[in-house]
Amino acid sequence: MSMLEVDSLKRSFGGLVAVRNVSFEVNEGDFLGLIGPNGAGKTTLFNVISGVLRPSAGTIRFLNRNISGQPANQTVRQGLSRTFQAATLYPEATVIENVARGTLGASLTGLSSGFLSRKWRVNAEEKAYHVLDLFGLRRRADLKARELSYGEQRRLGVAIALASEPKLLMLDEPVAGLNPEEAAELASVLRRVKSERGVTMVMVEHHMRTVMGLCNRVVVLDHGTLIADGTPAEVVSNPLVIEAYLGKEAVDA
Amino acid sequence: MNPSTTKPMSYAAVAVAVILAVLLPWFAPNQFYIHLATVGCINLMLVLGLAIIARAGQLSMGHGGFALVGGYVSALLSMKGWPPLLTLFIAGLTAAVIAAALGWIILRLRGVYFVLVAFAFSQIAVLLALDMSSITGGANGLVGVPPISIFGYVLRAKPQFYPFALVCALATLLLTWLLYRSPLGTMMAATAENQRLTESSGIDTHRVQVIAFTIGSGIAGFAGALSTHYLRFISPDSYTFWESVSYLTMLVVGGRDGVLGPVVGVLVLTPLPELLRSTEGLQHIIYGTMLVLCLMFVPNGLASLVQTWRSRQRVARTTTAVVAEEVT
Repeated sequence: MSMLEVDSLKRSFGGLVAVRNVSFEVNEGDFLGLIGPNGAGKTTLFNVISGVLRPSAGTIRFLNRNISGQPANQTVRQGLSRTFQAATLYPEATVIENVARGTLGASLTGLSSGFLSRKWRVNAEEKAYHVLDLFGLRRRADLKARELSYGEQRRLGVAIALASEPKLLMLDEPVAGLNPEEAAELASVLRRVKSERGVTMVMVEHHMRTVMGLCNRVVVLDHGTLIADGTPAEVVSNPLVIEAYLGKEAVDA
Repeated sequence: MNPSTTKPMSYAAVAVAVILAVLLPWFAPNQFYIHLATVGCINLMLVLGLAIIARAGQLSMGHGGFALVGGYVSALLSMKGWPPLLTLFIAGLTAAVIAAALGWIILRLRGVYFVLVAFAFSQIAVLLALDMSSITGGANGLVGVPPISIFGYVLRAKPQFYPFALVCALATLLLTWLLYRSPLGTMMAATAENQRLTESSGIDTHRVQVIAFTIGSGIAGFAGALSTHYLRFISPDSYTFWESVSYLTMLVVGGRDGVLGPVVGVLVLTPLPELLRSTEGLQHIIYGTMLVLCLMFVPNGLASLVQTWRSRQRVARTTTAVVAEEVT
């Protein structure tokens, strides 16, 4: 069943068209890789889908609801979370507090609750500890986020996004800047999250080994246009994709 | 202040401080000390209001404007015969409603623009008070504001007013503490630290900031009214831009995190000008030098000294635990 439907999506900045008439679907249970050369419009596409930017044209449907142009916080509460390229966290808060804050948007009914009772915090921290276990960060729970290593900070970024209990998680270059061991570790964490929580995932990534190892489907973007959609094996042998990455001569050769 | 690290020792310290504050009228050498303590209570409420706004990541340079609005509303209504005890709350409510309307529009403005618009609001409030002289008395202000009376007991003299001001300040302190511990307070802190991340955790950060601005400004309105009934007088000069700056100074010197910062800032800076008065012409120079030194050496405020000490203990505990775990 299709979870996310992107239909004829367009986004331009002044005269520059960053995303041009892009359509694709994400099915429940997918691990979709979104690849393309630098400047292909991947992050813009991410920002439009997650509500950080408004689309110039086209529609986005999530769980059969039109979410085009609605504020990001509302989209998250409906079950679509995303991570950011850089390590985005609360540097001065403890690791457990970082993840506990991530649970708030999804679990609270009103802003006036929890003034006298501390039950909400017990619940939030309990959920947060489960997430930390999944990411191998429980032992770091009481440290400040800025005291973690870069690899741990990237994992914490994904943990915060997962704390909002998404049905669909969009990862923006999760392994960028990590060394091979850290990248492999994060990949195995993502695999575990997917099997244990049943979260559908979309990932923008340049690191092809990670994409090929994790994704069951790959879509390729070049100059804001979708040029291929298929299994990883199909996509890497597609002449259009090779041309986008290596130039026309490489295809003819 | 992280409540989960609050120790019985802290509760004892709070209890001692409250008892000392309550007993003050008995050991104060003269009424001037009681006056200073009353002003301190009113300042504390104003600084706590500012701290709540800052907790959500915004700087309000119009804080005095809301106090001025509250003061005039309460003065005018009580001079028409309304009971001051009621008009205090109407004053707070009026300031809160204005803040909510203003905040909904201007909190979309980020950073420096919000600061400028809040500043402009406080200037407009002063100008309105000057120009609408048929209602506000213009530059002369309103003289003879009725005193607060509680069930016929009139709070006219300083020793009578002080306990009421103390109760109001302690209630504000308690409410602020409860707010910081609540989910809303947690969202406010998260918004201040990383708005983009908080937004993508499903929290409407604009709404959180408007609520913080409304609560903080409402407290300012109440405190402005309280001060007006204490001094029995209000004029456009009562809350100018410089009052807004002085609350901000108290907040920065005391510390922006937790409720301890505003308390420390008020305790240090309310009596300081009086203590320096004996130095004659030097008082402004000494005051300024102390502020600069504070900002240089304790940029997170005097209260952060306590928190630094606490977090050192926390890290020491964690490190010991991790080492023990890795050894075994």
